[in-house]
Amino acid sequence: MALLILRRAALMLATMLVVSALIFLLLEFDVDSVAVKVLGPFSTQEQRNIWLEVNGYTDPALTRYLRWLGSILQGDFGDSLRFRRPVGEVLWPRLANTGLLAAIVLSTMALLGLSLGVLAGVHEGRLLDRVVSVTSVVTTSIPEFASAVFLSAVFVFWLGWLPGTSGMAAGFDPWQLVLPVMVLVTYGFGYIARLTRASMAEVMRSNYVRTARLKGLSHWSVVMRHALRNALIAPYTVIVLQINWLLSGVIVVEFFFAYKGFGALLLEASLFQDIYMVQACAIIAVAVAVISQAISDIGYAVLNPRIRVG
Amino acid sequence: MARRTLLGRAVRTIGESWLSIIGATIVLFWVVIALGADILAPFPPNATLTPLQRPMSPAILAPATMLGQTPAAAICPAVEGGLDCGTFWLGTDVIGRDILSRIMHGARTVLFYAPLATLLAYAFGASMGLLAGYRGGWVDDALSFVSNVILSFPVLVLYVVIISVIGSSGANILIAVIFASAPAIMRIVRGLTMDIRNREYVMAAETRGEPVWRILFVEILPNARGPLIVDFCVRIGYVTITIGVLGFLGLGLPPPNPDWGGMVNETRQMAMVFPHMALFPCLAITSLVLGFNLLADGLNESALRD
Repeated sequence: MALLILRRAALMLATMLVVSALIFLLLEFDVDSVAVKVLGPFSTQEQRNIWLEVNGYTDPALTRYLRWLGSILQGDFGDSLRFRRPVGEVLWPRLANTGLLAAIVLSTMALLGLSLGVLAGVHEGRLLDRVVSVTSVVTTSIPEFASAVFLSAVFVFWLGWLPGTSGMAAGFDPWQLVLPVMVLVTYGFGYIARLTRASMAEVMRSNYVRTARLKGLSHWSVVMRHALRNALIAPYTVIVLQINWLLSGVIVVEFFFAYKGFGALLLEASLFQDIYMVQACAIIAVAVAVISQAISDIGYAVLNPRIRVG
Repeated sequence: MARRTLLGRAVRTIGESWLSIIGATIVLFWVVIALGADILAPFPPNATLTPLQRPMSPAILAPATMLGQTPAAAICPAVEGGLDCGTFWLGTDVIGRDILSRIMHGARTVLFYAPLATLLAYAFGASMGLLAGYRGGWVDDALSFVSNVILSFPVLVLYVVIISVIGSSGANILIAVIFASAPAIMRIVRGLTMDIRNREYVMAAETRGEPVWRILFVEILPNARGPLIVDFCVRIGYVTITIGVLGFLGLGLPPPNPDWGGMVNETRQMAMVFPHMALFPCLAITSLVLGFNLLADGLNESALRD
């Protein structure tokens, strides 16, 4: 077990190292483009050269990368070109907002996906199963921006029940979170439901569940105490892996509803060519994704004794 | 006896499941629209015709309006208040372009880029997966590590970063999609290859001394086609969504040519007052993706039954 965690941690570090190099190369390999982004398109070549020299951009790429890596590890991402403030000052509050949104989405999605999946899997082949299967195919076919349009057409334009933007201009308002959460849950729950259904259906056909039935246990006691435990192993890992997908989803939803979160920040930063902000956002997104992958792998090993051996 | 052609077999396999029949019908519908957009669309897609109109409103145009290269006066009969050029079935957008015509021409955009991008991603991903799965050893380790690194990026973050560096154009969208999807395809093909490479017919080919590329593409790849066809349908749906999302975020194809995501982006600010402008492109993209997903589901069902 300790070995597994150690190996996973090493792989995680290696991945992060390569990813950081990739991001650095992608954004800073061409130093002239950095100077243009920082000084603006109307700067002269002379000004750019001076700026590059003063800020150490004349050093070889490897030196610059290591220096950059060092400052990132100390939490210094440089100054945002758009906000004229340290990147961290802008980034951390935005990240907290997205964290709140993501936590609500993940828990709602897990609850809905798991319960629908379990119900469908227990009643495999019956009407309820078909309804859940078809519903989940349809909902996973709606791109987030389309369901955002559909849901706001109904709840904002037609019924007028919910606010159409989530800018939180007048302080925190839980109602403004409802639509963003609904959009992300709509797209995501179907996948969890389908996976839980498949896993549950398989367990329900297994010998030990038949034995439990034959012992004369009630239907729900078989489902809840015997089948569920094993059927939830596969969905658990998928739910943790959904964090990776959620980091993409928040970009669309936060842009659509003008929610002041991390995804909108990354998008604006890339549109404004705010290069240091893009770097910081990309690094953090990958870090979150890589850590959640590692947690998912380790959790899978804890839950499933069969793969712990060997 | 059914004819043993590729097309005949494909039609029969699709006909085995209701889901794939519905899915294939939807996809075919959009293909027909895309191919016939020039004839079917009532107006030129980029022509500014009127102030904003709601759906089903009569198309009364000012006498000086141009329909592409031709003046409207040459085609439409004059009535009281202007020229009667039919109906704006789905209304017009913020700058007075016919939404129905733009959706029809937008189908052409998405049905050109989505299959092309998916095919190219498959060409790269499948070659790498075949090589990694067949050779094993350090080749496999290296390719797998690279693909894991790329897959650890949240997809859209990767797209946003790539597009912000190389700029947004049709070719760059293709590059971004290939870069982001090839690793996932590589993983699937690698797994299938590792399963197939120990079969007798592969060993026979090795004994005959066939070159590696022949073993990979003639012996192994065709025998892995079942799961790959299903994955191709699912993936083409994802790519359709991706192209839509990029358009919606303002990172897609440059205006004025219509693409569905871009149409939603252009009208987002007005969506609370005139939801029709965003609603119809969203319905279009949803139905197309649903078509691909149903097709994949149906094919998967048929494959499991065999």
